[in-house]
Amino acid sequence: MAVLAVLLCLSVIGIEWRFRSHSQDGNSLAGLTLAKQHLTNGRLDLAEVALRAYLQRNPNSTVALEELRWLYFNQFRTREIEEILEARLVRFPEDAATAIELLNCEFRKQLPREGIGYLREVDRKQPRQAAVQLALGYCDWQIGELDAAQTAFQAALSQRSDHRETRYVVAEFLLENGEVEAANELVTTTAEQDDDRALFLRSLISERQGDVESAYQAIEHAVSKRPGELRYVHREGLLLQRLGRTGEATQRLRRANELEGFQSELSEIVLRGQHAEPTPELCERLANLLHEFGRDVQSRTWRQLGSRLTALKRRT
Amino acid sequence: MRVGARMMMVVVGMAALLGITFWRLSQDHIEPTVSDNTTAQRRPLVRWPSVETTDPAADSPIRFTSVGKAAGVEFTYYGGPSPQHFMTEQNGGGVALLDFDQDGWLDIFFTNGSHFERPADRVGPTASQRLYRNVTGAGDGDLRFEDVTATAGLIAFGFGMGCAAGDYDNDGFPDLFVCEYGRQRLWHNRGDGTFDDDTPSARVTDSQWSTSAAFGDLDGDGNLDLYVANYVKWSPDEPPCYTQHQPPVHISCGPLGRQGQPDRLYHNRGDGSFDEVGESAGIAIPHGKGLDVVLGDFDGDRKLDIYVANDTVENFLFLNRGGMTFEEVGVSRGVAVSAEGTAMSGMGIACGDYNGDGHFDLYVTNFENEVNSFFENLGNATFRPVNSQLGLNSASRPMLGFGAVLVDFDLDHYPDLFVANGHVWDLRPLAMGHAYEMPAQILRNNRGTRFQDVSRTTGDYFRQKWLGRAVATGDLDNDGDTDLVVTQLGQPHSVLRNDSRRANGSIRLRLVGTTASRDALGARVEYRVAGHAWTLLVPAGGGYQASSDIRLLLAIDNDKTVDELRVVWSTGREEGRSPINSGSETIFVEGSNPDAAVGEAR
Repeated sequence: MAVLAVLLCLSVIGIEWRFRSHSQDGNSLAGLTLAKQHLTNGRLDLAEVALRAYLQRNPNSTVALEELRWLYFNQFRTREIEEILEARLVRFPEDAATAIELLNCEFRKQLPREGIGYLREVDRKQPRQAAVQLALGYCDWQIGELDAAQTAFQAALSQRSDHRETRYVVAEFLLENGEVEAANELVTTTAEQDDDRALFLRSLISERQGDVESAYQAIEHAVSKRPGELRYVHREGLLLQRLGRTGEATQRLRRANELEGFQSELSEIVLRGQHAEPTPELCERLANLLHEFGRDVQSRTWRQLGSRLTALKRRT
Repeated sequence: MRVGARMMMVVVGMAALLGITFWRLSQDHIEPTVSDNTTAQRRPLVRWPSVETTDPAADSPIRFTSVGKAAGVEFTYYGGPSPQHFMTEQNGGGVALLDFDQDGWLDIFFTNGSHFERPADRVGPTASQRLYRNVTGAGDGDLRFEDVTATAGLIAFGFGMGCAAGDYDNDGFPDLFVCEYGRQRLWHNRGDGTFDDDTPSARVTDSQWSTSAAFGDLDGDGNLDLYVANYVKWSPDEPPCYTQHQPPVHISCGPLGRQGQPDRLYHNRGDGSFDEVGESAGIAIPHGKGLDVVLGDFDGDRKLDIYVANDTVENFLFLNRGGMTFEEVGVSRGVAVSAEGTAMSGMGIACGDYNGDGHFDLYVTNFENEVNSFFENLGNATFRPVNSQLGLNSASRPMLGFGAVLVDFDLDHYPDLFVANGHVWDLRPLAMGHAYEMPAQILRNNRGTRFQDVSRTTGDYFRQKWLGRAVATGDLDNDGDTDLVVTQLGQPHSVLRNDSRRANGSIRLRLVGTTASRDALGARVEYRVAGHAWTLLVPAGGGYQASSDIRLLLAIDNDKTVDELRVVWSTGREEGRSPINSGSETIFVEGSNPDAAVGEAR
């Protein structure tokens, strides 16, 4: 435990040191101050722009990263948090704090019922922010307030009709409400035809339209993009089954079940907080589990951390 | 209850975060501008779901009236929720609808609970399980029950959970099996209005935490076997559980991280006793955390299969391979996990043919923030999740569902859904909008295409909030439609009389086996009216800790006849009869129409 604390401190201090020695200048600090001011005032859209710009210039800033992470957390933008943290891990492969945060963001997600209060408050003070509308729509949808969700989604989409995240979330909402064609319109006009989430949605839409073969092709493509994504693999199995390819279906469904087991194990580790106080054995286990999901960057970090802990243990 | 447990862990970080964020928001207001950094050229906006000009609920014919108190059923489950938050307090009580005295009127049995610090047996008879005899027939037509627990010899105490009714000795009188924490009991109906505790002599003693059970003739020998779902290992000596808030909220412990308990399968020897054959039958899976079980022929081979809802681990589908052996195929048949591939917090199961295709489908209730699962049976016990396309997700996501049934309330041939909801944890002190008591729901089946939540217009009961648990169905007043009995925690159980506007009349059908088990539990019934075949299942389990009326209601126009009726008995024998004229009740005795056997015995 003490060993890990030292490692974590070293990791964070090292990063901050790099940040201070190489990147800090007057303009940068002004950018961060501005971002924080926007956050304080509930201007999440401007805060996001400022934080991203600041991180562009100061990629090592843990402060800016932390602010952006919370900003996305509050807006249910898990994929974007992951992308940012993974990018950081590529840059700093020994950054244990980021590896821990990555697990947190995946298994300790915001709950709509608990997050909506904050979003409503932001919306009251600073109405009509597209990202806030999208998050509000999502929360209202999840807690069963469908009329409010539709209003918020309409507002979000009218402001950012080409915004990828917005289109995906709204398309899923429309599908659930039986509006298959409307959902289809959103997904087919998405520029990123190669995006796994778009492919997943296209698969759902094709199945609703009765085209199981196309639904399968879309999900197969999505799986090739993210082979460790449980819901894709499971869906692939279900569609293979409908196509009468029973043997392949069973194989995919069993693989999905295997992934589900790994996911449950990871979830339990994170929810118990064990990942924040890991032993060398747990690091190894986390590395193996993450490898199963294709998260090789994270896996490598945990494996390295395990080795460092083992080496430190031997020395002490 | 994985998601719920996850939620608890998350809240800590959130509380701190929200504190910071709200502080930030208290600063000066700045005039808003629209961020357009991601806005490109405008495209035509999508066509939104049309704003409902007519409320679908307003057109719903389904109505229920709560009549429990007026009918003399005033019973509140003992033992929970209490300030101690023992884990046994979550489940609530079970209910069985059975005609124990065979007078043609359906009676009600409730299990009852206990408390580790104030045991039920020290409280006295009010904390006993309860039997209410239906005396409507002797009155003016209004539903009326009287408490006959003491005269029936059923005063007993324990941590009662679910129950199952079934005539295991084929003597014409349904017996009762009661699941309890740490014990289970078999009550033999002596046929004179009294019951004996035959647990030891029947050799069904067990000390696990049993939750739900179902009788069914699983090997086709004419005797009802018994499946018992068991939950998890837990002891009141274990440390209490709390949320991670500051200050923490005391809650009952969940199943995550606890060892599951394997289910039991009791083979009926035909002499009043059973053999436990779970291991050899292949159903004793150690990690199972069972909360409900349903028996039915899901693959069309004329043998009863078993479906089990498990809490936080995958659900089981045991296909009957004959000779009292089963193969667990839930994963490969697409009915073990959610549409997303995740194991859910399976609570209750509803079973029926929702779209008239002749196959039995499955609906499973889950935890709050999970959606309830609807698995469409594609014909050979291969399933696909259709809850999203049936419009069921939005209705279930904010709810923690327990008992559910799939029954045709308005006699339009398409079974509707009733779902009892209610949380297991009282998180209201957090002031974060968490619901504790929740409304029950009626989701009307729109001709097998989508379900619509019509609860709002279904009656006062659906405008109130409850800690809903078990639900059993039956025609309590013999008026030709399906009534409901719902158990709740903290408030008296409810008797809901069906006052729906009917699309058709009905025939009540009672099956009596002769070589097959006398109670035709799990039997498949197909009837043809005006060229269309409809398929029903004699209930065997389901509803979460419940046991329903074994008589079926066949929807049919009053001036029409059932052109053809086919029954698949537990022996595998298929038997037909035709025609059947509309009327109040038809009793179909196996073999009474010797020329009508149309299928092979297995």
